[in-house]
Amino acid sequence: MTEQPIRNRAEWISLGISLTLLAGVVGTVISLWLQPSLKPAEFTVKRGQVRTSNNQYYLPVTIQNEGDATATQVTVEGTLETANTEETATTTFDFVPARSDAESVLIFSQEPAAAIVRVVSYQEP
Amino acid sequence: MARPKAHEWRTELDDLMRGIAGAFLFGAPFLYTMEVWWKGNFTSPPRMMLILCIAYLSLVLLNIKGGFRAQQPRSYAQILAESAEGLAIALFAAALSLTLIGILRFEIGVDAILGKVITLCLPFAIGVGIANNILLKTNGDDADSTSKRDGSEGSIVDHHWHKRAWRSTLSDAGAALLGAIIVGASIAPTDEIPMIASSLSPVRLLLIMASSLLLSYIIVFAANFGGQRRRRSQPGFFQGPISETLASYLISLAISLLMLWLFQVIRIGDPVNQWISYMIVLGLPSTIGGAAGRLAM
Repeated sequence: MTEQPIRNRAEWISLGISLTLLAGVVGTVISLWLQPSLKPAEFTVKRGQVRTSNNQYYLPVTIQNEGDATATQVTVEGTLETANTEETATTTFDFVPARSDAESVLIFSQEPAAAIVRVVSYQEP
Repeated sequence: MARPKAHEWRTELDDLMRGIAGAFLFGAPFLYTMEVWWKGNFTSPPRMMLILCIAYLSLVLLNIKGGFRAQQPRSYAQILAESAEGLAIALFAAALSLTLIGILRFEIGVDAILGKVITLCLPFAIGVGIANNILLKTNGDDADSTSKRDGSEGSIVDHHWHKRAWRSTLSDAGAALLGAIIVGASIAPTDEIPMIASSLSPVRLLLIMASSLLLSYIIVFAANFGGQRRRRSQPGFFQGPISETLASYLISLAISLLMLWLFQVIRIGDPVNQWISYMIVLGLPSTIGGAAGRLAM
């Protein structure tokens, strides 16, 4: 091995940037590894501003997974009870990773201010 | 250290561009596979480390005979260093391309981001590792083409120019067309196109167009690739780097549109913005296919 491993400064710089990037990725993976997901999926529901269109009420809903585990097929149900009827709107998120948000819209035929919105089920991947 | 500075930077940039080109040539079909994104959601950290190790080992093995740097042969230390750089290029290209098509978003969480990038980096790393094998011609070929060019540019150039121009334009266009058909036809009928297109803003579509042009240019021209010197000396509409890149992008878009219509992904009567966005989304891999086709000529 008479040749120098790295030939010039340009190569040193790209090797330096590469190693920094790799160290960042590997470091993050290891830190995830050392902090295993202990807390199961847990959800909070936030409502947005209702808008109306064609006599329908659109209620934006943001759910946040505050657990350390990913949840799939997360089903959100909104129920609205009025004097004589009960109305239900549901939506399903394919997947909500740990500590992340997901948004959807529930549609009601009446003003949904009194609607109860909650996560009714999810699957563990 | 005796060479001039500018030359060193130029060589380094060429090498890195060649690595990126290799990554996309091999990895583009994997980028448009939703199972790759999906599995990335549930990849556990030990599995991520394993994928990274496999990618690094593959690069070490590939770099013994291939790699992305033009200069060979190399010492063991160089092979190890080049493999680390190759892995970084693969991770960078995977993260950038996933962000571009809107799969990687900040709110999906660090686990999912890492999982997707690392899953996709495996095919990209193999692409970086074989970049030289697909893209770099040996010095012998270059010398050959140079002497051929010198000979032909002597006396009867004007006479044959038009004939040669037509022939090489047609053969380049045909190569781009075939490459785009091969890649476009294999991706057009999949659900990924509507999935990607539905979540993209107009600005994002313009970014995808710009990236398609840039990648096509990088693959065929910017990095001293196979046959590139000969290519520049050819007459015809496809002779200039910019006009060739633009022309082959237009060909790829047309092929994308045709394939999407043939596979009934889009129909007459669908909204215009759906046509446009699907075409641009499929245009990215089709252009890469077209660039590969022109390289193969």
